[in-house]
Amino acid sequence: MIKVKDLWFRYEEGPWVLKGINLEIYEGDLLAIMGPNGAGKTTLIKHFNGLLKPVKGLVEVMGMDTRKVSVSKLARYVGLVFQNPDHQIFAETVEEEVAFALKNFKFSADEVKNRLNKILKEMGLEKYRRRVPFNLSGGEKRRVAMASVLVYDPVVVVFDEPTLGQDLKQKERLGKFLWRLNDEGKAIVVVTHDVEFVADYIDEVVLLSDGKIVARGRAQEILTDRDLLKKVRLLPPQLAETAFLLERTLNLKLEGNFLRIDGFVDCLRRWLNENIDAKRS
Amino acid sequence: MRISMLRGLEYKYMNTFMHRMDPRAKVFYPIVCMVITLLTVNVLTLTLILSTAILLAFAAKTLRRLLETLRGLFLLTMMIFLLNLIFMGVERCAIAFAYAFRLVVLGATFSIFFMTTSPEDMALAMVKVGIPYEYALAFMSSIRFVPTLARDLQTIIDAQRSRGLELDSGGIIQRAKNFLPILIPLMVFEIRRSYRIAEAMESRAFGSVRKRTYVHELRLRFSDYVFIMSCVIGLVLYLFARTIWGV
Repeated sequence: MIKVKDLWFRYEEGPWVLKGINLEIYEGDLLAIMGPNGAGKTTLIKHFNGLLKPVKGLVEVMGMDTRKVSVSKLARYVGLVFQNPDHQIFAETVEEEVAFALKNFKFSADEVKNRLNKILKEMGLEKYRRRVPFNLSGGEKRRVAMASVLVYDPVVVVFDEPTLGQDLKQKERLGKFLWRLNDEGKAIVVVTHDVEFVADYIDEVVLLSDGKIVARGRAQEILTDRDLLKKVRLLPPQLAETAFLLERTLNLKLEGNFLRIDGFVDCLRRWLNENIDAKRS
Repeated sequence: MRISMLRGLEYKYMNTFMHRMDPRAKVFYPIVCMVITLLTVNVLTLTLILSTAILLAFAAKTLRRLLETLRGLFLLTMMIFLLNLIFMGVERCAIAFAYAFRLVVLGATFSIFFMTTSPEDMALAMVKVGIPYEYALAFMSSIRFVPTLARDLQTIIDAQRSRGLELDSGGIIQRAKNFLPILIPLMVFEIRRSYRIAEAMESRAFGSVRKRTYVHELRLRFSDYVFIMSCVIGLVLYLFARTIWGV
């Protein structure tokens, strides 16, 4: 769906922000892009819908070279949910705000109505449809912003720091929502610093540092590599730290996926069973 | 409007004679230039003023940013030129050009002042000439937040383009309408930001002390007086030339 080949980018004559990025995103991918501040994460995702064009190299979206196609055409395939909903909300009612993209993409009146009803229901925004979006709470505004992108059904959805300032319950809801979108076949890309959220909900991680990709792999591999995480100024998830301490202090080495709590309990149970059985025999 | 135009208001620390100059002396330059610019429609006079601006920008190592500012002003300048041409007729093309050129000259001279004067110095200078600190601070904040405003504006444009907004599509009325989804969030966002800043300042006891003291004191030096005199002489010379040649 998205192919990034040797992408180099800088703002005007400034230093290089992206230095030779190679990345491919396929249907059904559930991917987190992580890295320290200033690593180039947001700059990278702005290439996915052509807001930024490569200075060197190539970005292809659904086979289209982003340098040759308008943002509005690419945006039809790649939805970008910005970090702060206040940067986009302008309409007088929630439903107008959510329908904005549909009107820009020239959907028919019937289609606008159907899609609007569907997404407002899915996002739990039905009761707010005639409310002024500026007066909603932070979490509600964020849902409006998400709905306004998801309503036109892009095949790739990119979220910039979606967990910022969200409480536990909202994060949980968001994580499950991402799973549902992913189950529908959409590719999901999440830019975040939130390792706990990634450990709980995301399959794959790309680590970006100083404009280069330093690692890509399963969340289980990347988020348990303490040296690698230290290099990109991230703390390992708590369960990975717990597993590390168990190994160091009790020589208890967990095998398998222990980043989520249910997986952790399974791994621990398996270890106990194996070792207790071994001792007995 | 290109965002690069806003760069003409952005101060960056450098150590040149323009940066070191007392703002009270420096402000004479844009004011004198403005007076002359508004009095004349002579393209030669305007070119002369623009040349002084380019020379000063070169000396202040801000020439590149000045040119960017002027490039940002290009669209607006063209609009002024075309509108004047339409309403005044093709035979007064030179006057229409001069009106548009005025904007370029004004933009250049004022941006040199803003590019080389820190907002703090500006506020200090205002207090020195008797303006209450609250007003000076409000002015200083509005200048200091220009880069932030430019960043917010870019993010908002990006967010709306990501939802399929095409700023350049349609006729003139449609194009003006296309800017609503940009301007409304910008205004709401900035008004909210100003409330947040006011709260943050009040929680740090802003306004509790009536008499303020300052770490830096402004003092007019010999070179500042020379600069003021040069500006005044420039203005007198122009007025003299105007009475004789009508330029």
